[in-house]
Amino acid sequence: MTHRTVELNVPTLTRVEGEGAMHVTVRDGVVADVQLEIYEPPRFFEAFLRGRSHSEPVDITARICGICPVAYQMSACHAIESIAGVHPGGAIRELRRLLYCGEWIESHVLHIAFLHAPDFVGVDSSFEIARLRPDLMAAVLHLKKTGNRIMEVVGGRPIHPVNVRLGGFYRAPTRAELDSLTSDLEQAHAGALALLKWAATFEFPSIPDRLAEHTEYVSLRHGSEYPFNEGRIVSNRGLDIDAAEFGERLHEYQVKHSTALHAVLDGHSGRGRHFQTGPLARWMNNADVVPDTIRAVADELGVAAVETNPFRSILVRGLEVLWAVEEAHRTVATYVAPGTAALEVPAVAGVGHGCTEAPRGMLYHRYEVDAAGLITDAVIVPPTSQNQDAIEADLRDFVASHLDLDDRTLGRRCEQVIRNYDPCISCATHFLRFTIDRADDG
Amino acid sequence: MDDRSARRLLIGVGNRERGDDAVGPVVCDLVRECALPDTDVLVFEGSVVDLPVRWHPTDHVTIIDAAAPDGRPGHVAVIDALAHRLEPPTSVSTHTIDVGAAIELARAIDRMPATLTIIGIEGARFEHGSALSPEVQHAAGRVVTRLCRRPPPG
Repeated sequence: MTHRTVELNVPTLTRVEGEGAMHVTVRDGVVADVQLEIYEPPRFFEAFLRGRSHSEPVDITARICGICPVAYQMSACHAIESIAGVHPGGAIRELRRLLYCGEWIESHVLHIAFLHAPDFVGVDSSFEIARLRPDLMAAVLHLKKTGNRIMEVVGGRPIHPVNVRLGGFYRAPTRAELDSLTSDLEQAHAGALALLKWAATFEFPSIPDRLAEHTEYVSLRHGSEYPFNEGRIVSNRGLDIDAAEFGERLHEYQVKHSTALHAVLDGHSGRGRHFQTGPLARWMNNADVVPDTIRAVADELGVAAVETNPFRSILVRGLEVLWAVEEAHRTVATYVAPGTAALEVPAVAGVGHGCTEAPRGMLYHRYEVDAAGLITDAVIVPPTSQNQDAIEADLRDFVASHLDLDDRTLGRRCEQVIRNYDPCISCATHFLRFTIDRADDG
Repeated sequence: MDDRSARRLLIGVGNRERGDDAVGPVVCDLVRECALPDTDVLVFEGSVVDLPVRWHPTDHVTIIDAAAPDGRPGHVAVIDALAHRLEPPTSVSTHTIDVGAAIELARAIDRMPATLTIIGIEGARFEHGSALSPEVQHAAGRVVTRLCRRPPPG
C-alpha cells in the first residue's frame, strides 16, 4: 500500500466568511484525522475593551462583524444592563426584536442564496442561479433590501448600526418611519416563502449516524416566543441554565491547528460534552413556540420538530427568515413609539452576562465593570467558535461514510459540510485550501 | 414617483470613514443641495448586493464610486454599463459583492435600468479616519458640477 497525498485548491471555497483550511487524513480506509484549520490572526477585541467605559462595548463590539453587528450590540447591552438591573421592556424591547429581525433576514438570505444554495444546485456561484431562476433571485434581492431597510430605519444604517445604546436607542423611529417598511415586508413574505420552497426541493446528503449520540444542541429558550434577546440557555439533553452560568459551564480550549478557541460543555482540556449552536439547535429547542403559520409551512415542507441532518439547516434558516419577516411585520403593525428612547443605565460595579441568538447561534458576552464604570475584563464567545468541534465531527463522519467519492467531489462536499454552519471565521480574507491524504491501493 | 420614466437616480457607494472611499457619498451630498428635479439620490455605505432592486427598468441611473489607485488620483472614468459587460466574478462571498458584481447580477436577472453610467473616481488614500485627498476632492467638485448641469432625463 502506498501513501498518496492529493491537494485540491477549490475556488468556490470563497463562499465562507473568513480564512481557513481543511485537512483530512485517511489511512487504510479509516479517517485518521480531520482538522478545520483557522489561521486568522487574533483581533484583541476583548483586550481593547479593558479600561473603556461601560457604555462603549455596544459600539466597539459591533465592529467585530459586518454580517451580525446587531448580535454583538444586543449581547453587550444585555450583559451590561444586567449589572445595573435595567431591563428595557415595551416598545424598546420591540424595537430591539425588530432590529434583530433585520439582521436575521439579511444574514440568512445571503447565506442561503449566495453561499450555500450553489452547493445544492451544483453550480459555482449565485450568478448562475440568477440566470437559472431570475424571478427567484429578484425576490432574494428584495428580501435583502428589506433586511437592510429595517436596519436603516431602526439602527440608523444597514451595517454597523449607530442608533443602539445602552438602555435602548438614541432616537426611536416614528410611526411613519416604521410604516414605510410595511409594503416591503408584505412583498418579502412572498419572497421568503418562495426561497424556502425552492430550498425544500434540494437533495440533501446525509451523514449516517452523525449527531444522534455525540452532540448536544444548545440554544436560548424563552418559552413563549422564538428567541432573540432573552431566555435561558437550554439543550435537548436537559441543560437549563441562566446566561450567568454559561461561563462556568463552557470550557474554551486551544488546539494547535486553530487560532480560534474551541469549546465544550462541562469539561476541561477539550474533554467534555460536545455541542453545537445555531439554527438546528434553535429549532429543536423552540419549534413548539413558533406561530402556527410557520409550523404549517414546516409541516408542508416536511421539516420535523427535530432535525439533526446538518445539510437540512438551510431549511431551518429559510423558516427563520419567514418567521423574521412575520415578526417584523407584527412589530411594525403594533408599534407605539416609546415615551423615552432609552432607559438610564448607570455605572454599577459588578459582573454582567449577556447571551443572544446571532444568526449563526448563541453569542455570549461577559463584562466585569468597576465602580468608576470602566471595564476590567471582557469575554466574548462567538457561535463559530462554539461550533468548531461539531464541524470537525461532521467532516470526520462525512468523509468516513463517503470514501467512495473521488477527491474533487469529496472536497466540494466537505466544503458544503462546513457551509452548513455558515461559519463566520473572520472578516479579513477568503481562502480555504482542502487537502486529503489517503491510503492508496495503487 | 408616479412618472418613473422621467426619474434620474444617483447612487453613491463608499465608506464615509475611509478617506477617498467616501467620494461617492460626498458627491451625493453635494448633488442633493442642487435639488435637481425628478432626481432621487441614494447612498450605499454597506452591502450593494440589492442594487438591482433599488432601481426601476425605466430609471436613468448613475453610480459614483471610488476607484482603486493607479497612479492618477482624482482621475475620473465614465463607463456605460449597458454597453460594456463588467468583469464577472468567478465566485462570491458577502464581502466581494461589489458594484460590478451587483450590476452583473442585475444583468443576469434582466433588471437593468434604461441607462446605467458608472463614474469612477480614482482614490489615493483609504485609511480609517482620513479625509478626502485634495485631488479627489477637486474631482468630486467637477463631477458634481457636471451632474447638476445635466438636464433631467425624459
